[in-house]
Amino acid sequence: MSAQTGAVPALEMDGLTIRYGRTTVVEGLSLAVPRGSVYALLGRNGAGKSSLLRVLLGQRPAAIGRVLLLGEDPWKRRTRLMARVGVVPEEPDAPPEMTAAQLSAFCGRLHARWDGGAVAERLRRFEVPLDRPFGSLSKGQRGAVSLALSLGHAPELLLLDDPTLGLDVVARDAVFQEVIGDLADRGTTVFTTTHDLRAIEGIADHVAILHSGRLVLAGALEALKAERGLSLEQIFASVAGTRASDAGITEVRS
Amino acid sequence: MSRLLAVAARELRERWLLFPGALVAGFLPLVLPAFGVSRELTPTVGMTGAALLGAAAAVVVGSSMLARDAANGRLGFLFSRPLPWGTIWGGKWLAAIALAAASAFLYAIPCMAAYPLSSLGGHHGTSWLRTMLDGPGMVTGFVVIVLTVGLANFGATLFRSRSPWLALDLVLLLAATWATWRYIAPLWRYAAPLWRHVILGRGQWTLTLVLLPLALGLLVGSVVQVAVGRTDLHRAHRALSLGFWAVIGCTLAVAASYWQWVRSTGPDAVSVHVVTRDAAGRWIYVEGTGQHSGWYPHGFLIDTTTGRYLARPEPVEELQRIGFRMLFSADGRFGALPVAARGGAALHLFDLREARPRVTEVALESSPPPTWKTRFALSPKAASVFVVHESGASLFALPSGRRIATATIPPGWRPAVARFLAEGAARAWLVPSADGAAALRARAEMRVVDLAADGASSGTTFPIAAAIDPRLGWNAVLPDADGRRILTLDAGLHLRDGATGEPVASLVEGTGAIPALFLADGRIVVEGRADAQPPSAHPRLWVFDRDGTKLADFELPLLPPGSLGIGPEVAPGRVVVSCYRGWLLSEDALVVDMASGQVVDKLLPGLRPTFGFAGVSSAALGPGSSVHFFSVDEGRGVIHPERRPDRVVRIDFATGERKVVAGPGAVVGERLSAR
Repeated sequence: MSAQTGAVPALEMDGLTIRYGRTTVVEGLSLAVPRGSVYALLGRNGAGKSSLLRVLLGQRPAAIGRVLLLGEDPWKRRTRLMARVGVVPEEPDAPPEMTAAQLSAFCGRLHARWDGGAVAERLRRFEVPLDRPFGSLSKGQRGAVSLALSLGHAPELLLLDDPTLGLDVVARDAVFQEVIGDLADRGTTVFTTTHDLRAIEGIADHVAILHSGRLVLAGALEALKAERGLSLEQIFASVAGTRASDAGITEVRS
Repeated sequence: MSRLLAVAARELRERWLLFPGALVAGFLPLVLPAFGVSRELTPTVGMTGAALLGAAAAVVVGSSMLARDAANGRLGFLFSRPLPWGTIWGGKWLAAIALAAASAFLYAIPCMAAYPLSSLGGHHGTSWLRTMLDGPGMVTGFVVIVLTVGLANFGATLFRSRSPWLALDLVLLLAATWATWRYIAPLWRYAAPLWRHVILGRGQWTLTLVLLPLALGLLVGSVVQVAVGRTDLHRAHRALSLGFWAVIGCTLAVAASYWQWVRSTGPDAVSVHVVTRDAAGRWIYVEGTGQHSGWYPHGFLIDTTTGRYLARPEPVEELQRIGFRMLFSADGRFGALPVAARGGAALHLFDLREARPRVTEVALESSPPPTWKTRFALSPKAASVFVVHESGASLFALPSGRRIATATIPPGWRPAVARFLAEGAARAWLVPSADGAAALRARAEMRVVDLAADGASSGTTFPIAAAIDPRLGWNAVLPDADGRRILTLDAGLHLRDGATGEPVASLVEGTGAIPALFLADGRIVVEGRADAQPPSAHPRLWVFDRDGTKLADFELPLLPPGSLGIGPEVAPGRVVVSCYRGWLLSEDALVVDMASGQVVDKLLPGLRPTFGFAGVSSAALGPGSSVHFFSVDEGRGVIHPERRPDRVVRIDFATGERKVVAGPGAVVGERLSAR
């Protein structure tokens, strides 16, 4: 595991602009994610969060600006970077005909180092059956499998794209407890986009808010709250120009 | 490699049901005989089914391996692993090809087991496997699988992305279709035989060669699709299109460049096969083939006094085979090239009066498309053209193309020769149609049709001595310069009245072809038949007057004997007589005085009179023409290590000047572009 802090941020964007044809979805985004931090990117639907994730994963290039993932350009060094990065997509994308055990074995052939035992242990903890095809699992179970697979190679950086979207309370807690209890202790940097403001409030140490493709707020979470005397939800509502519930932000029901 | 195999294995695992399904389905052809299908058909049905199943599997896999996964977001699973794009692409393609090939093979197994190849007879071999693996079949099969998978991938990507690039694809498809028609089709017609027989040696590769650029384009397109498009379907579509069209564009550009290069060949780089000339001997039209342009029929209109030349418009394949070439008007001012256009006949009319010939396309009004049986003749001043086909004869005004007179021809006749008697009056001689069963009951008769520009027409059927042998082709009827007399080959050579067909004299008895020539003064020269016993080995010439009275009979010093050619008349009463002795023996060409029978000159070895084209009745040479054209084939007569292509030599018998005007060594002048 790399050092928790270092000269090179885990994630760095400088003047990043993302376009689909003539439509600009992210414009002039600049931020740096310190190593070892849990960084939450918040934004309304269509704010450009998922597009940003695709650029971070080297699945499409930036139109303008620079992106560095662990100090390297993800568009050019995607293959090398993906050995050090774990990804949990918004929609679980594993082949539906494969069971969790087969998926773990398959990923084991793709990664130079792979801890199949740890993956199996996490799946057991999430109570995911190993012998059922991925496509027949519940959404929460599929998310849990994705999370377990993303951690199988002990990544230095974990990218999560709204990992709790559509999950029930128990599943959400499981995901975030995994993040809190395991990764933070190991110094893994976590960069997540989420709607779950209350849950992330207890986990993230940094937040950024993306509104209409532009970064409107970024900083250490506690410092922001102290500075404004507001909760994260209130801060979001004030800078994103709407109440969290109107923006499609999921309220946590206890 | 292990990662590539892992990706491929996952693709196969997803579609594993295809394997047992194909094997089970392979038993279906074996039960067909129970439903009344012939047992002999079963192997054919089995192998056809295998090919179809392989193609279907290729379509299924090709349409889902990239486009579907990208649309469903599943491609991201692979792209978020440490997998190079090449591994993702390679694994998916490997699986697709393996699936298609394995499906076809598994389907074929029951049939191959039940019907060993050795039991089927023929020349296919004894082993199904060896037959499949040998020769171009396997390579062609591989290319077809790649093509099918690639097309399915292209179609699925196009369909799922629904991006505006679809419009560009359609535009490019239209452009590529046009370019293929313009540049690939001629190469297919003319150059493909060269590739087949000279470069590749065997014709079976032609299909592979044609499909290869398409398959390669789709393969390259999918490489770019994965490398650049990655998980973004719109971007993938754009990348795929660019990659594919880049390869197709390059292929078409190469083909177009080659085609332009072929078309830029001059008359000094072709081996000349046939020549027609104008009456004065200034203009000739030659056709031949170039060394690197396959069977493309280069055609040049050459001003033999200056060497300037004009390449003819692109040939029309079906007419090229027929052999229509340029007709010249007797006054030397016009040339006309029959072509097919807009479903009918047309002419490219060359106005030769100016320094730069002017070409006009003249559609002949309501004329049927020309066939190999159509005959054309151009009037002495090019004021009209006479076109005769099986059902009618027509005069068309030039340059309007308007039909000015028509005569109907009853069924069962085809034209042998057409000729203008004077400006505005034309005549055609018809022989019984010799197609199929009709040839077996060929009639001993001919028909003559007269047609005038004022619409007057007449037709007369006359008996002849015996049915004309269809194998004698175009030489069965020979009219004189003004069409008043004809020679017919009907159980000998007979002189007849050109208008009525009434016999005037019987010149030679016997069968087969008998060469003959009308001299400018009306005398007739024919190859004689020896009367003496034992017959002399020397060829003989008989000379007759206008009425068929024999004037002279003399032997020619041409040994060993061969096939005789008579003409042209290079000076009054002096005729070139050629003796052809086959491809390996030397030829002789003598100039013989028809009054004395003396040989007055002997042409250089290898020189022989040029010959023209079927279907064309150019104006007969005027009596004062001293310019004649000969072809030179230096390789004939000996086994020549570097046999040179045929050339055309222009000889002016009045001045003795001779020069090469077409073929290697020709002094060519400016290449003219028609106005």
